[in-house]
Amino acid sequence: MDIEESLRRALRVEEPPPDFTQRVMARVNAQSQARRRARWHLPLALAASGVLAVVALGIVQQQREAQRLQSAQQLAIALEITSSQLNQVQQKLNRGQNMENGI
Amino acid sequence: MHPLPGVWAYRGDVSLQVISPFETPGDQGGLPPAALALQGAAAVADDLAAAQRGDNLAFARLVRAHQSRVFSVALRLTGSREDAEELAQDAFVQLHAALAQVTGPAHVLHWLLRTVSHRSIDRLRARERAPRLVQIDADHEPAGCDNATDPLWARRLQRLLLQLPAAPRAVVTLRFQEDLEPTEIAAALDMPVNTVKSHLRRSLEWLRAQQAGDGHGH
Repeated sequence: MDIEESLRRALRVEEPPPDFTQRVMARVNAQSQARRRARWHLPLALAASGVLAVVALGIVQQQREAQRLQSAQQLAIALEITSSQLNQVQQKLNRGQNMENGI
Repeated sequence: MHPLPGVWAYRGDVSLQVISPFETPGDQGGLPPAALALQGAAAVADDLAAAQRGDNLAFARLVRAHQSRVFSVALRLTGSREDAEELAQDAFVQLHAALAQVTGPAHVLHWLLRTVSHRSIDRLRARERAPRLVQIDADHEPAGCDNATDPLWARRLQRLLLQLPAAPRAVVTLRFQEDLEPTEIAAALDMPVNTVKSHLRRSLEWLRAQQAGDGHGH
């Protein structure tokens, strides 16, 4: 028999196992579910990143505000101290001047 | 993804299997092959369009219509039913992921044969790099050996085919199992037509020599 005809006869189509289609469809469904889940991953990740960014920004602002308040309080205390010291110096100066004048 | 060569089209013998995955050719009411071909292409086109809209039942019908041919190509190339089933499944799963790019029934077939051939060749080349890790199951039952022909010679031919290197094996399988023309094989395997013809000529010469050595020549 001619080799080409022999090959055509020898290489006839063979059937896959009976559950082949079901197995393919199971994999296709699993892949589709994974893709659907993956479709939500990006928006969820973006939303989570947004929330985290807002929270972080709030914390930073709170810290800055607290620092600002603390600085203002420290400045106020420093000014108070300076003012009281200046008063004391003024009083001493006044007392010395009065003594010189014999009051 | 893959351009559809103009030479690809459903032929009568192809569509006989594609017409209705749930019916035997005898259920077609004795229509002539040309009419069956048209019916088959139309059914696949409908299923393809439905599958592209997300109808998984239609995709299952597409799988059923093409699974034997895709599985057989992988089986001829790998020589292992287990590998063939895995590779054929991979090809269909890939097809499902790429449905939007498929343009028609002929493209489905082209896409599947191309994908399964490339993946099988890759698997064979990986095996060649690690020859002791995989055992070739060359003893699967020969397909379609009529009693009128020599089943032993058919089995011998299948085993001889498994001795060819990956590329010529793919060329011979697509030529004699799928009945593709050299231009179609070249498109499926990304190979120049002259290389396809050269693989065919050399493989047939080698097989003829084996045939003569076995006393099957006439």
